Amino acid sequence: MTSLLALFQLRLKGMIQYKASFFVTLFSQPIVFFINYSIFTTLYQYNNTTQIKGYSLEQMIWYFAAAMFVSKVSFNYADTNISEKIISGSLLYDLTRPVSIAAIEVAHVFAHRIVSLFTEMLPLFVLYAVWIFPVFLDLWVIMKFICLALGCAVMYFFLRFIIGLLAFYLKENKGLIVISNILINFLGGGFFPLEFLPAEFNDLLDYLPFKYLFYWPVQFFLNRPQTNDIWFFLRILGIQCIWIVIFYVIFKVLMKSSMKSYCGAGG
Amino acid sequence: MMNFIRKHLYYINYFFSSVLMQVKQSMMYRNNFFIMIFVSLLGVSTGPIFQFLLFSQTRGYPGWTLDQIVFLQGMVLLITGVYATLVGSAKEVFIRYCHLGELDRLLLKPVYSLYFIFAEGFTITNIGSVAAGIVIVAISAIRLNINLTPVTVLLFIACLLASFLFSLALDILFFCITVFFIDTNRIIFVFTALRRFSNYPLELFSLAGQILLVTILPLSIIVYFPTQVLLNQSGLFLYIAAGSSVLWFVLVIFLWNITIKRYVNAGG
Repeated sequence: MTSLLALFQLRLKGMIQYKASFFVTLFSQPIVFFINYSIFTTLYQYNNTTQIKGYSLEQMIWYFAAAMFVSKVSFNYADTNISEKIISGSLLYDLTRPVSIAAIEVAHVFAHRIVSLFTEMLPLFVLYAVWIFPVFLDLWVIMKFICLALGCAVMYFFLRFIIGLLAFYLKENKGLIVISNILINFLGGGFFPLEFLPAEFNDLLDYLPFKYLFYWPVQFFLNRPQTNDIWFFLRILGIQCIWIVIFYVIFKVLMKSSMKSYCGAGG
Repeated sequence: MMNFIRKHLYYINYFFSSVLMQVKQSMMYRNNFFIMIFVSLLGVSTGPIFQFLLFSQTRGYPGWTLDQIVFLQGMVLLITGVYATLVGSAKEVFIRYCHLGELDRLLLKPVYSLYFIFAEGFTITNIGSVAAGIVIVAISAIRLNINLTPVTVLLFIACLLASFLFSLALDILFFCITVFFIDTNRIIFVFTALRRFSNYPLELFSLAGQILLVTILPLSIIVYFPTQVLLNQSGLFLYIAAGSSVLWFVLVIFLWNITIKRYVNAGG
């Protein structure tokens, strides 16, 4: 635990080393907000409607903010870090440490996410809330959202770690990392509401893990009608848990088989 | 005069040598190379796909038909693809130069450093976006029955030049910020977010937003105005945006010359 805390502190210091640069980054969110706000305000006005695909203007704009929250809670560089270590051979150093390579990545993720909470998520929430107050939010909705967002973070961590471990077999997997990132966001509703995709395709996505990464946590955040049922919430949480177990088993099998054949030649 | 031509021929020659070297490097991992072409296409396509879905399932945007929107999105893929292929990774190259101290070596050479940085920004894998852009633009141009007169072609070329000048200006501004802030890996996101303005029709924004995007921050020149020229819908705003882009480029070069004089090594 002490080693993990030290790793966490080290990462945290590294992240806030260049403070000025860090604060300039905050400007990216208002830009994205302004673009989304302009597009959808014009679109709703021009279409003379209060609902598009079941979303009110407020919910549509908040959809992108909520998707960004989930992304900020769950985002990690486990795939890139692991594959770079495998390709460069520096994995050898990590294997000699008294903590597992997965634990090292967990410490990095915690450091990243805590900094992100204060510097990205909270300012983003305030920015959107000042402009369009989220009338659909209450304490119960926030609690359900936090539960599902955390489930998403665990799922996402294992998924990205597995992709990183594939570097043992593929050697160069940068392309795979970027493709998987785009596909996860596209099929999970991270880029836009999935209602815009054909209904049959949407039904197919129910059987894949991606929808439980972005789309469902966002639906609970927006307090959409179907999310008011407690059993429905437990069902989505249960499906997330099943996917976490599946990813964990794959992760364990991959780790075991790759460690058996791994041979470090550096020194 | 001869000296000027010789100097620029040397830079063009260096650019092509750099291109050749990077193509060879990319082909080292052939499978990954083809995956990266697909990746670049996928990466830039998500925005156009969403706009298409949004437009086709609603009444769309004021003043735009579905074919025109598809044409605009094809132009987004084509213009941003060409720029990204030619100098797309210049920002990453400059960050690497600063962090590793390689900029010091470059500044010692009797050449203009910006040429070298941009020459190394060539990224062959962005060619996927260019190919997709050409196909979409060609198909929608036929559907829209676009007529190209010599004046239209000349105006379009001038517009593209202004578009590239403004894109280069944004990149050089990023270089200047990197010299001052050192760690700008995350500031790239601000620039990426800014460039998103250029992917949408100007009519989507409020009047104040439109004026801003034409005058002070002429992002509309990157894709919107070249598209409008081909659709025969350009007006006075086009010339203002083009003039503003040239002004931006001149000012940013001036800023670069000041910045590079104040540069202090931050690398190891």
